[in-house]
Amino acid sequence: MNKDQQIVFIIDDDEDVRDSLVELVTSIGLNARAYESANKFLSEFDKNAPGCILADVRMPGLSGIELQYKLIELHAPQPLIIITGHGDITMAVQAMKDGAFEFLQKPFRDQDILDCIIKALEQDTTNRIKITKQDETQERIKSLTSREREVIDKVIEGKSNKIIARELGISNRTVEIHRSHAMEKLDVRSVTELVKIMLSIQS
Amino acid sequence: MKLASEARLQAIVESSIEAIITIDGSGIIQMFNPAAEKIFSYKSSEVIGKNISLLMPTPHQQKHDTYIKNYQTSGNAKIMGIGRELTAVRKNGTIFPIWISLTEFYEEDKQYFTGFIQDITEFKQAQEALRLREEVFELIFENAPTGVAVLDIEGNYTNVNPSLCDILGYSKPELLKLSYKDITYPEDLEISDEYLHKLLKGDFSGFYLDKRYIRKDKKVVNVMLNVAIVHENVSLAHDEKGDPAFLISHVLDVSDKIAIEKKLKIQQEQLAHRDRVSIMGEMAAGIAHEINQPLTAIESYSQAAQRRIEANDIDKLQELLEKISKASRRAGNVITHLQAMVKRDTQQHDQIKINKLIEEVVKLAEIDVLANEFKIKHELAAKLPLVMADAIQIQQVVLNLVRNAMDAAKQEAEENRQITISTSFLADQNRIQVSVKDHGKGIDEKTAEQLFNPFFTTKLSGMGMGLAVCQSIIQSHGGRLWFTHNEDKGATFHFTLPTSLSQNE
Repeated sequence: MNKDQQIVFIIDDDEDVRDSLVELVTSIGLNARAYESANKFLSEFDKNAPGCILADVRMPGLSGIELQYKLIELHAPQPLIIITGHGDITMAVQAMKDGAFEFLQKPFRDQDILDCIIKALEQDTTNRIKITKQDETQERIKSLTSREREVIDKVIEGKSNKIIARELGISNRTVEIHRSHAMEKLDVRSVTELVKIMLSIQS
Repeated sequence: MKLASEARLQAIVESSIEAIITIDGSGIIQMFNPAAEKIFSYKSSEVIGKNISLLMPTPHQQKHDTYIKNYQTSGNAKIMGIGRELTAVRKNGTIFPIWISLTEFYEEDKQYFTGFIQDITEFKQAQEALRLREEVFELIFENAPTGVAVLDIEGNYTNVNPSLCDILGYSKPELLKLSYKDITYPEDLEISDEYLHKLLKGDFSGFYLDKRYIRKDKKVVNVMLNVAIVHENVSLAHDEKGDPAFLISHVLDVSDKIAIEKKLKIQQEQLAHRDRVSIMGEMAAGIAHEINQPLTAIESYSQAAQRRIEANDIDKLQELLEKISKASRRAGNVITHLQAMVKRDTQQHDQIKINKLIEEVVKLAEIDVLANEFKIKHELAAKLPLVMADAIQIQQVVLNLVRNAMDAAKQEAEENRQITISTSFLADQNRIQVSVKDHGKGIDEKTAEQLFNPFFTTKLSGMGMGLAVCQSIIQSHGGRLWFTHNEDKGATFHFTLPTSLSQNE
């Protein structure tokens, strides 16, 4: 994923903190977009826009934690970094448990925040590759005929060609043909690979 | 004449409620009156001519002949003339108690005995019931977990139970030589006497009293006392109340209860104290947050600036430096904003009674006051007008000033560990003034200059926010906070608050 396309979304109700983060992020050549509230951010949110999100835990309106739940609901691939003030550690721990990418305590130390942002952007890229792969797999599965899908489902259940043939009332040879066509369409070379990709779209 | 007398005798015998039975010298029944018939359930015709032993249970039945013979030969009768208690037997075989007296007479040289017999079954039953009741009361008295005593109307102990002995630490014989006056705590004697007097006068039939006794070991014991009075009957025939006869007192040791209550009270106060401390802590956290924000910005701006230097982007660098200085000004201004912050923190203005508020604060501070062996003196003016203020914030100010006063005089000698809180009304300004005076080390000139500055402190542990916060609170209420040097020793802090114009106390 191209770094130029990635955006660091900064959400903080404090103007100075917000602006300084924009300055910091842009100083290393990254794109930044700032929002004064989580609601404003969500109103413009596009999960296809690559990047990462930086949000203060304490904000009027939607808090950083509440924003996190919204993002999970939306299946947002962008990682969320929670910024906490002094004494919000318990909230931050909860945020981490609920899947926040990282939490940083104000005031930040040295390189911490930039390192964290860069890692989050890499994570976003990884997430997107995974999503693309899943989408591709979905497409491939859609291209299977209903008979091919039937045979594949039984293969995943661990059944032999002979049993599948008997269950479906077709010959061994026909099962073999459906099976090899399906594996070709799904671009897999072994049963193990087949099981792996079928599981990945289920989860 | 004889006939007449015989007829009269006959009438007496017939109508007597006592059974009258006559036997001859060999024990044969000669006469059996109607009362006897009733008591023994025999018709006279059934028993006349039979031996008297018929009416006696074993072993008397067998021995009766011997009894008579003994009497006839020796002249000694265990029963003759004096009457005694015996048992008899009815026709249906039931044995019952009787009271019998005997007389002996001779007729035509023949010896006869006449017995007068009462069925005392009911009497015996009543006696037994009484005995049982006495035993029950005895057990209750002896085993009662509360102290119980019987006293004469002078207040001398005439009986005491073991629990009372435990409570008072005296043995029973020792207590029986004492009066309640001997062991009552001197301060409680007057009221004890008064109550007893009223009880004896008939003002009430009993009373409860919380009082103290002094135990034998000189320890003071707190008790709840209940005293009841028992009167004599004027006569046995009439149920009429006579003179007081004796007193019954119940004594419950409540020392433990009082100790528990005391402990509870201290715990409650500690809780309230902790609450108050945490309000201060919250305020400090609020201040920390306000300062943290511009510090965070400065840090980020600085890092950004560093990178712009590397990129030689002078214009951007200049912009960033301006932003840095703006953020640091903001950090500096936090304290100036404190006043606004105090106000923003949901200040709730109510009409408050300043004297009552001070008393509450002193209660809150009590634990520290006691721990540091301080004394707090109140000089509170009467009839002060109400003030419009946020009670909790004003409490914090007073608490802070009291704490500071204690800190200032902690190392002083005992006579200087005294804090005076006074209130007064400044009629010309329509304000109330509160002053907290200590006899501590005082405030030198250098300290005085910075006293109200945030982060200035003379204490080893402390944020230096106390007086800054206090001043902000008082100013936000439209009042003033300042201090004066005492003529003798230490300093006095004063603050004023405008009175509520609408209503007076």
